[in-house]
Amino acid sequence: MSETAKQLESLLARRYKHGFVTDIDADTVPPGLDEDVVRLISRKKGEPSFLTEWRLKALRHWLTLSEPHWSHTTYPPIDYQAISYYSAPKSKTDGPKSLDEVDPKLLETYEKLGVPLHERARLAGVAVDAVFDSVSVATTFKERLIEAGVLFYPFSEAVQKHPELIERYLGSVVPYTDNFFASLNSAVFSDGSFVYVPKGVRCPMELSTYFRINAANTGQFERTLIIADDGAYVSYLEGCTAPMRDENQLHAAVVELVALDDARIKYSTVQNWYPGDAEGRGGIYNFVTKRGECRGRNSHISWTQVETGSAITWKYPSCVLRGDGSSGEFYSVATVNNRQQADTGTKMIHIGRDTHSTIISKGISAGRGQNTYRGLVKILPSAHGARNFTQCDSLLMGGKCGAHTFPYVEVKNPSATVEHEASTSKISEDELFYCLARGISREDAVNLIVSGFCKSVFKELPMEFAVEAQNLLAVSLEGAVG
Amino acid sequence: MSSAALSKRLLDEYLAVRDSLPAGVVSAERRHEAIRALAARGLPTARDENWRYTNLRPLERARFVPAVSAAAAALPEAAVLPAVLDGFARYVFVDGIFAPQLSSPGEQTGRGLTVRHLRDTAERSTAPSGATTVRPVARALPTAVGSLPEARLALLNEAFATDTAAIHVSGASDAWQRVELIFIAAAGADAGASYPRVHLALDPGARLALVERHLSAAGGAQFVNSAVSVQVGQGAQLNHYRLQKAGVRSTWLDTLSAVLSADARYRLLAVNSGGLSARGTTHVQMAGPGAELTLSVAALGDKQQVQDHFALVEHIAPRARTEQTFRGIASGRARVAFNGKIAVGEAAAGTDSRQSLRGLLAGPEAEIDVRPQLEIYTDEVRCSHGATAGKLDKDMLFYLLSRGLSDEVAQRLLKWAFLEDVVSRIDIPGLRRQIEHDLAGQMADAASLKELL
Repeated sequence: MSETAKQLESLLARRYKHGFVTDIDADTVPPGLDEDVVRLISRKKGEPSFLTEWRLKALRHWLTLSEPHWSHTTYPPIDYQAISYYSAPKSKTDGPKSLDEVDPKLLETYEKLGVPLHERARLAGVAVDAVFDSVSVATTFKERLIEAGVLFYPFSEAVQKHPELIERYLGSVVPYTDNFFASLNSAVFSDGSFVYVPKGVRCPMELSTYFRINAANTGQFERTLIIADDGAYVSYLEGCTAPMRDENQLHAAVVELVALDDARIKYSTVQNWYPGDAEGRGGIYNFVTKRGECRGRNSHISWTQVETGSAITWKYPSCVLRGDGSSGEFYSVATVNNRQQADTGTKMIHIGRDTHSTIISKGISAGRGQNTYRGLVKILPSAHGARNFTQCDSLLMGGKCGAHTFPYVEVKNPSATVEHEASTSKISEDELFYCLARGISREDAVNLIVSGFCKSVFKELPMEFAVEAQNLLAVSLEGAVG
Repeated sequence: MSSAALSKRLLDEYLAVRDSLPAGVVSAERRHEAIRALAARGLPTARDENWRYTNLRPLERARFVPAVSAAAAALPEAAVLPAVLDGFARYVFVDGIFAPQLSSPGEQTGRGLTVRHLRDTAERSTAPSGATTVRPVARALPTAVGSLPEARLALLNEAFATDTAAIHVSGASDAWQRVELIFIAAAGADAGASYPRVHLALDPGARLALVERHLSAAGGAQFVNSAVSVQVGQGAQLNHYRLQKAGVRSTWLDTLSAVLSADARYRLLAVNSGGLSARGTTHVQMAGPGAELTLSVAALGDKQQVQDHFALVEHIAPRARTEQTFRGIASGRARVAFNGKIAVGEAAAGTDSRQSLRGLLAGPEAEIDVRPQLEIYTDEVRCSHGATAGKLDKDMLFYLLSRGLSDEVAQRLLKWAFLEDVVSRIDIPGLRRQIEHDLAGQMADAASLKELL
């Protein structure tokens, strides 16, 4: 055992691989938040008046709220007036018309991260709408998407081109009154992604966005809105890596998904933001509201997430199963190491008849990390024949970490079936011994066991992401797990 | 009513009666301390995460002062009492006050067993929360009753308590002591509240089987708030059966706090079927290495009933084991909820815990809420839980139908079998029979089911 512990220790000691800061001028609003700041953000982006008003309503509502503290996390108080709420790369003012015009330093950053923006993007068949700080700078593969009729824009561009869609769908899944962080986001969101897949269209490629945090002290407030019209299909990939940083950074994103009749949305996330150093200094606060609504009959939304980064992760990608026969899925791997904290899970709200949901959650705790699964399965009286299956397992590595499971099961329809099972244990000595006896090194053995533990989630990821996810696990826990 | 206004009223009611409350049960200082702590913290509200499934409205309307009718007028006929169990000494309390004429202690005060009711004792007692009689356990007591936010209704009991059943078993022995406590709520809620109170202490190696019943006199619209404190000494064994059959319009609130020393064994089994609004809070601390807890709860809700149970098991010492079983059936428009949390501290290496929580929905507007929670701070553990909520198993139903049983009988039989996961653990034959007949009586059209028994 002690040898395993040593092994783990040395693995854990590895440093964050993606740590670097690109030095470019940012057009940054001074810290603080009031109506003037919100108007300024809106004006800078040339938004229509309905959106300005919506932001202001959100701000006024936010001011009436107090920060929630029910999550199983601890962190020093956040001074919301010390945060700068807008930051755009300087070169944006000139407006890059193509990749050639993009600030070379930005491209360098992507290069370091291995973002497949140039040829690699084409080869990988991935369209990248890369968000650098808060403003999108380049979007590729537009033509192919336009041909298919898919609208895939940076949010601010979508506001200009399709205000009617924005007005109709923005806040229809996560209203600006939803919660403290969603209200804040609604007031100050900088940019994000917008996707609309028209009726009967299968999006010809995986859509991918790399969210990056760059300028110091800039909270990121992304807003993502994805609409799949009747019979449409879209798979959206979101990946996050961030430069090394000493101060905590707040990230309060909102993601809204709308699936109409027979539509299918697959949303995959690999999150690898800076988790803070071994003592827990620095690191990103990742307080995110993600929710999808299966509005139409037989619609389907699937969330897959691999959470390896951030000092604190606090998010519950959820499905509101409104349409009859609709279904929701949630597959999650969350790892915490050093002093990371994660309070994550999902909500499955069954409203329609014969709605189904599946939840598979794998938590891995190492070092002094605290990992919490928190999930709600709610069957409303109207959800005849609803079914849910939940499995959440936790793996503990070391005597100082924590693994917590807080499920809620609320059933109000007698024809429903809900099953929940969970287990918590450490890596089995027997399994380790078995591997070692066959000449596998201890590190590889740990990797193997952890990969096996996470397999049921990784298989849900698109292939490119599955590889990246394995690698990320090997970076953050290549220390702890592998 | 706002919570501040409620706290104010609570305080006023306390001040009005405090001089008449017996000091032998709880000293004036401790009562004062309790009411102050409760007022500061406020009574639970639906916004409290661990009270969200409880029906708390009765608290707003409650008259907190103790019902004073316990004397002759409201005494129920002895006939409402269940048959005496073989070998059990019986103590009956009416509206929280000992009723000697209904009790039959027999020759119980044999070796090692002391049962006292503290109302007439002049001496200052420390029971139940001070817990000083059993030294080895007292040292292990990390928290006092009511210090946990979920246990704050024990403070309400402490402030207004009218009597205490204090049971002490001394000396290691292979012989089981047997005691039955019956708490009858007689006075209506408008006349005041009933405060059953039990203090239980087992010395190292002692053994006790305790049956604790909560009943209502006819009419059944009472307000009951009971508090039970339990200390199980090293290697001691306690089998504790708690049967809640409060009246159909009653509010029944209960807080049980237990501390287990090394290698202590505590089997706690509760069958909750009464009350309009019932809420049980159980807090067990595994304070000694190798302690063992079996917590089994069966709950039956019908019509408008709300049956809520919260159980927190804290593993403080290493190598302790917990097994939690819940079976609940919600019929009619009832809500049946179970919130079971197991917390494993850093020092509790070798913890083994299992939770099996199952709810059955048997009514078109019924509701089942289950929360199996794990909070774990060390890796040397094996913890698992399973929870289900749903309808009767179709295959089982089909099996019975294909053998000629009617749909109705088949359904009842399966519901019965569902509860048997808990009820069959009762190892006092006479008691088990009583409970089975009671439960059968509560399920619609009991006759055919009774035939099957």
